[in-house]
Amino acid sequence: MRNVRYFSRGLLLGGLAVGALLMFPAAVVQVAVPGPWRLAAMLVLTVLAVAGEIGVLPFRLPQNARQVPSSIIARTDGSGALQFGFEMGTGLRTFLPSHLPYVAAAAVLFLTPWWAAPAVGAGFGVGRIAMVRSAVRSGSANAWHDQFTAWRRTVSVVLWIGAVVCLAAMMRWVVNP
Amino acid sequence: MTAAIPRPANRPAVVATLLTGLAIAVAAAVAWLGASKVGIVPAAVGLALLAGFATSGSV
Repeated sequence: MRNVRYFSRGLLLGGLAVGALLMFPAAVVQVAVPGPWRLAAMLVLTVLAVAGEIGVLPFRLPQNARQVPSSIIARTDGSGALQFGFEMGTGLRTFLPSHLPYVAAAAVLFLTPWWAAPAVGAGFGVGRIAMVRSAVRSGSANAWHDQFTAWRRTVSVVLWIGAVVCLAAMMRWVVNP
Repeated sequence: MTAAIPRPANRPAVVATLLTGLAIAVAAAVAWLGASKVGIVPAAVGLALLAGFATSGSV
């Protein structure tokens, strides 16, 4: 359980770090690019992400498709779990089985106030923590993942519906501030 | 000899995830209907939360 705590902290820190890194580019984009152009870019990226998700596109959006080295995971003093969690929390050193993180990152760049970027990054980390904790608390992480895999399509549809609602809320503000 | 009792399928966890996603969507919709600039931040955080859910299972 101690490793889960360190892993969770790592996930949160990783999300926060990416959010903090996105603050500057978000501020630049939001100052330099007019609202309608940002909106158009957001729409294009969302369509690309949805198309990638349902397999219409013949390619995936870029990802760093590799696993965190087992040498990190093997450390038992908590630092391994922390680093593993951090790298997973950034989303930059792992497989991304969904295109939703691209949409979230684009929303930070194009729609969300730049100063909120760390909060959005933390939201990503918390989302990952919730799933990890849910799997651990179920008593059998393997059974949980089997169930998740079996339900993945349904879960994905629900998550995308939620994401589109969130996007609509943000776009409304950009269109009519 | 006692046979191992198989655990029931872990449906509640997945259902909880689905319900959480729906709850976030509803919260975002409420923020939208509120027509407030403040609503944009919870909507963005909600979107990121959903992205975190969606990437579960990757290593």
